[in-house]
Amino acid sequence: MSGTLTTAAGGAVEKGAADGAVESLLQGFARKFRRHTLGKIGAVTLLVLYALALFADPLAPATMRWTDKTKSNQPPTRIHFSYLDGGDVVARPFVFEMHIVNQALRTYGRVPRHTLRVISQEAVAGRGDLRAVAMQESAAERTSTAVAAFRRHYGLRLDHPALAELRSVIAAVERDPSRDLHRAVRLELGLPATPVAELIVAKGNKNFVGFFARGVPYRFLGTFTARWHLLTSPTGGFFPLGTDHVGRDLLSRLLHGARVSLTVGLVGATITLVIGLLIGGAAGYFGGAIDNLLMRFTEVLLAFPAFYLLLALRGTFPPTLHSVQVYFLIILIVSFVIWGGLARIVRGMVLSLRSEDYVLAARALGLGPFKIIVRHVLPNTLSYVIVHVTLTIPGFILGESTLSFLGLGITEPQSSWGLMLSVSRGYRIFQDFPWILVPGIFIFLAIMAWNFVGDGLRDAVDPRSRG
Amino acid sequence: MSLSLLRVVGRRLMNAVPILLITLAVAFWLIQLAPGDVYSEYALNPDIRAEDLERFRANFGLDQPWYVQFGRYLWNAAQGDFGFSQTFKAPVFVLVKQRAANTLLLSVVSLLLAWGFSIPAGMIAAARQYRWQDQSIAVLAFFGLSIPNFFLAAVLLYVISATGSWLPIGGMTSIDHDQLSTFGKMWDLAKHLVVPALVISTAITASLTRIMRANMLEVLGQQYITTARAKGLAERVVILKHALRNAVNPMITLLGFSIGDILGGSALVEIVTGWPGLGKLILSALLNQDPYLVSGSLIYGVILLMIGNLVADILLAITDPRIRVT
Repeated sequence: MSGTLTTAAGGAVEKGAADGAVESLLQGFARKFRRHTLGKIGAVTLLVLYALALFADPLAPATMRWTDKTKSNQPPTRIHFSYLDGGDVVARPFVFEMHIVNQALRTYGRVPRHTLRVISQEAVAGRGDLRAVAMQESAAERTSTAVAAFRRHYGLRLDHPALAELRSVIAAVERDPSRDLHRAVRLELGLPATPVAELIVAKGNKNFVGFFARGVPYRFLGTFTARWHLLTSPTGGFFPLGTDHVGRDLLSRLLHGARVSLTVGLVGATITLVIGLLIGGAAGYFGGAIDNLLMRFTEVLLAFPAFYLLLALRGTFPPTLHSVQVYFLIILIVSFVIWGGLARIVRGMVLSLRSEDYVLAARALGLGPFKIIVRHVLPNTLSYVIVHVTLTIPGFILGESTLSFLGLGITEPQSSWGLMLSVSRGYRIFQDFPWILVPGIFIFLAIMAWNFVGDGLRDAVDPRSRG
Repeated sequence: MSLSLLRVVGRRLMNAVPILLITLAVAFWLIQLAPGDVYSEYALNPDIRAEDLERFRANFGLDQPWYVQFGRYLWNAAQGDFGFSQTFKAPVFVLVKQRAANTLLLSVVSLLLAWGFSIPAGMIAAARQYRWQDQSIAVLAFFGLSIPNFFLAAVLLYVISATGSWLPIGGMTSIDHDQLSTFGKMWDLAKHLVVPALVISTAITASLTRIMRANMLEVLGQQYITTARAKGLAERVVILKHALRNAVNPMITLLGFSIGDILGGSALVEIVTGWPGLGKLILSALLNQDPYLVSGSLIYGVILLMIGNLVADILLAITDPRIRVT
């Protein structure tokens, strides 16, 4: 809109508006931001990304730590929507159960059509899942392999009644004319650790995929335990982005890693904001020796190549730390590297603001310097400062992923986007398993979105931009 | 002119000395602060006796507090002895000298690439403001600004290997490098340079392009541009002769700063692409807590930064007649 003028307070007044209502400063910023297409795209992208991180548990097909050791570096699975069973077309989405067919080249192929599997996705009492896969030609051999694996997994005696029960269920499943059949079974084991085993006896080479299907149990944000996932297969084997080198689902790790990678920026930006405002404010307001000292210090900091400083600071702490400690350590280190720029900007603004009449008035009223800085001077720098801080968030995301990429950041079994990429440090690995590079796309998206939002905010608070 | 330039050089050097000293002191202090030292790994070896380890430490000066180590280091460095790297079992000076040339080559090529692209791109974006040229350059700049260096390097290497290895993957020279002719050697090196230099320059190109565009827009709004247009000069002449020169000047100041970015960026890219430069050296020095190697690399880094600022000053004095250095 061309017909705007700026009032003394800095708020824009719409001349052409019908009711002639005065819009506040914030409303003006919001209106200008909404006109910034890239800014809007960035904001929407960020909303989506942060929602993915928040609801990672139900959105992921498995959990962050769920592992199928037999399936390291499995390529992404393709969903099929129908199959033939004895001449009938069955419409039911599924993925094929794969296994390594060439150990040396790590190539995967489908398991045979007659495969029999006995699977538990319980992860109860510290045990891993039971994933017995019997691929023999003869049904009797398959049955005995599966039952033996079941017995070993739970440590049952040879004459345990559950074995006979499982054998009869398998016999019924094998007799069934349908070539792909999944049947859930509850077996009383009577063990102190696992009173009941919940198993799925699966015939055929398919893992059926469904919305809100039962999968690996998880605790949603540490509150309650649930088992449904947005899209998963109760018998496992569903890896939309493939698996990593130990056989964990990459999509699940990507979604959980988003929590670390995306919140690092938010927490870090807050810390940088506080440090930058206080130090820049003090330097600008007091001037003289304090200003000199603080600014020489930031100069030394800025003279240092940021990456070397990042490494040197990380080097002063022990390499193995608890994952929560590492998380905050990374934030502190990156904040320390980054705050100098903000402090200089704030200092410059405060320097020009401190001789304003309202500061003199506040001083005449007898306010102390801290109160004047915090209550009167800093709020006037806030719009620019917030823009600057928004533009530091990509630095945090990048800093986290860089440190984790080099093996100095978040550690296994936790997940972060940089850590997921760290396996691709050797190019031979991503040459063969390119899907492990996907987290990089998300780092890129997140940084790009924050840059867009920062750009939009900058244009919105820029008094020279009309709109 | 040349005399005043000499004075600038002198003052720059004077300014750099305290920064260098503080940086080194902090490096020694940080290394002392970190748990363990360069001999921590030896302590796990049952063949090495504890008293031998103590003797090693005493020989290396590691039993002293950091300020004593720092003082000794300065004294020796002043006499040209930059210490000995325990990790690589070689004098630091030799190690840094080997790697420094490689990093310098990579940095200079990246810098040339970045400047060679960003100045025309920023100029075009400003001259065609809000048109498709401007929009597409803006999108490209955002892309370059947002993509992590190490990820871009990985993707490029993957694309190259997936499409038939028409460029070498990783390293600085081929296996048969020594058998090649002089021209063949240069061509081999150039091919190895493509990926790392391209990756390092993307991020810098992006920010330089945006700055160049802003400078150019500001200059284009000046009255002398209106005058030039009013005189009936061709738009081409107005932009290339009147606007460009004035818009480039502030960019030169940035040259010094971008050297720091390039050093930081190159370290990571060197690690991913296997370029045998300073970045890899300093990473392993830091991980192994090798104090003299860290210091040696830092000195070199800060010297490079200084040279960058100096070159920027001199260039500025040459290109901008209004600046008279005093």
